[in-house]
Amino acid sequence: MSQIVFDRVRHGYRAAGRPEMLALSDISLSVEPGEFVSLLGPSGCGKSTLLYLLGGFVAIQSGRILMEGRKVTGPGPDRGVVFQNFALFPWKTVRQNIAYGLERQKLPARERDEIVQSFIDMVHLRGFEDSFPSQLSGGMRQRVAIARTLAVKPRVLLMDEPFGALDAQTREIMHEELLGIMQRTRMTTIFVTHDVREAVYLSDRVAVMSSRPGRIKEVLTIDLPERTGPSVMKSARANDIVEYLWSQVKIDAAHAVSAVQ
Amino acid sequence: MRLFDFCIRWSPLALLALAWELAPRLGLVGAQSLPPLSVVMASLWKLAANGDLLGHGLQSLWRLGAGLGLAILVGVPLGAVMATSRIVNAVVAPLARALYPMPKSALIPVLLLWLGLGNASKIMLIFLGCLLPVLMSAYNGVRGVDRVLLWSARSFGRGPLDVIFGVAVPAAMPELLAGIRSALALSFVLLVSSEFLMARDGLGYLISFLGDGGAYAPMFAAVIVVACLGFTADRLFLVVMRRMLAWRG
Repeated sequence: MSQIVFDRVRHGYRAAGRPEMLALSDISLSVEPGEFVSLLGPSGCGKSTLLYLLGGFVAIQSGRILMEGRKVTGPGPDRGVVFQNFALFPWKTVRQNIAYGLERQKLPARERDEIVQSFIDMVHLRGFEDSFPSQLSGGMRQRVAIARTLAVKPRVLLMDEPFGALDAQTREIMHEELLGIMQRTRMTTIFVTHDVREAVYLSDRVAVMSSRPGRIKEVLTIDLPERTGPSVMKSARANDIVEYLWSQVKIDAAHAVSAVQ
Repeated sequence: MRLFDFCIRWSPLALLALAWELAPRLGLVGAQSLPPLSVVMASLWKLAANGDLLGHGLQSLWRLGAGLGLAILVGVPLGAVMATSRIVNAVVAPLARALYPMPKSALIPVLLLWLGLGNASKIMLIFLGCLLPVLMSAYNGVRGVDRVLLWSARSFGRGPLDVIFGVAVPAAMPELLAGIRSALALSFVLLVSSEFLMARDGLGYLISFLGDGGAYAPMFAAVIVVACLGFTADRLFLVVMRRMLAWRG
């Protein structure tokens, strides 16, 4: 059984005195356990909205979204979310941020501390336990956010352009870290991005979205050999996939630009 | 060099003190309406020694603390809930908007009539005066909190109250504390002016009592005490504020 099912999801925005803006039109997609699926598309294609609907933050207007067979009606710890701007609690230290999700679980204090420490180690932040987010670099902040989300052991991971705010080098390091974590946890992941290479490198499948209204144009299976490192992206096969996806996205990006003008 | 900085920093105050001392002594102003600073300080010593200052001062501080404390206790939760609930906002916002520009000192006669000369009338006035600045800062602060912070909390299974008081209010703390700081300054204004008009004790009462009796040197001494109290309260608040916002880096 598919772990996540989008079933004819439609979403519009209404502003007073204006016709409805259709953000998502007739989205259907199934995600299997352990799969890494990217939602790829230009800005404004509704890919983040789709993620927020699955997260339960935005009310579903039409169609339905099933998480392990149950309709999504609101947020829950079964769906861990990582946001582009980290969404860390700035008044909490690294340790307190990572412990936040665990506070609700009735764990003995010692066990909780051990879990927190293991996740701090996992994202290589030993020595920064008592730092505030404002004292960390962007990459470190996003590591804290990932650790905070994974610490509660969600069933699936939802990532909304998690590396979009990072510089290119840091992003590459984060890709390796994320792949490492994925290999260990085999966690089902939905990953929103507008970066074609990133989508190809990380994903099992890529859902290409088009804008106005947002819909899924195509779902492409990325059949690259086992990802042993960034060198995979230098193969001819990877280049072809990137070229092809880029051409698919570009059509819509051009449309979006001309629509704005 | 540090001594030099110190001198520069305090020179305006020293000049003011010097002018205060010399002006009446040189006959530039009447010594009756402005006694020399040294005379005022001697009165201050006397007021402190006979216990008047402490008694009136404690009475005033209690009113100020109770009024401002109540305003924080009511204003923060109400403002935060207003910012997150459309219904509460619809009920409270028009009231707040209508009452915000009203000078709260206009309520002094009404409160005197209803609550008399005791503590209640002063505490009520300070509470009412400080409530709206505190409430508005909580409201604006919470409204400005990034929604993904609230979403994060909810995705970790937190309920609405937990999200408001565990996440939205701490996130709004910079704006909230700035609002409380201006309420603190306002509370001194309301305290002293209400004690002028409706009290039998307190520093404001002491000032007006001494002034009415023509005891100008001790009157100025009491004024200095109020000014110093206000200044010290603000500095202390700043220290607390910096500590609470240390996370801003």
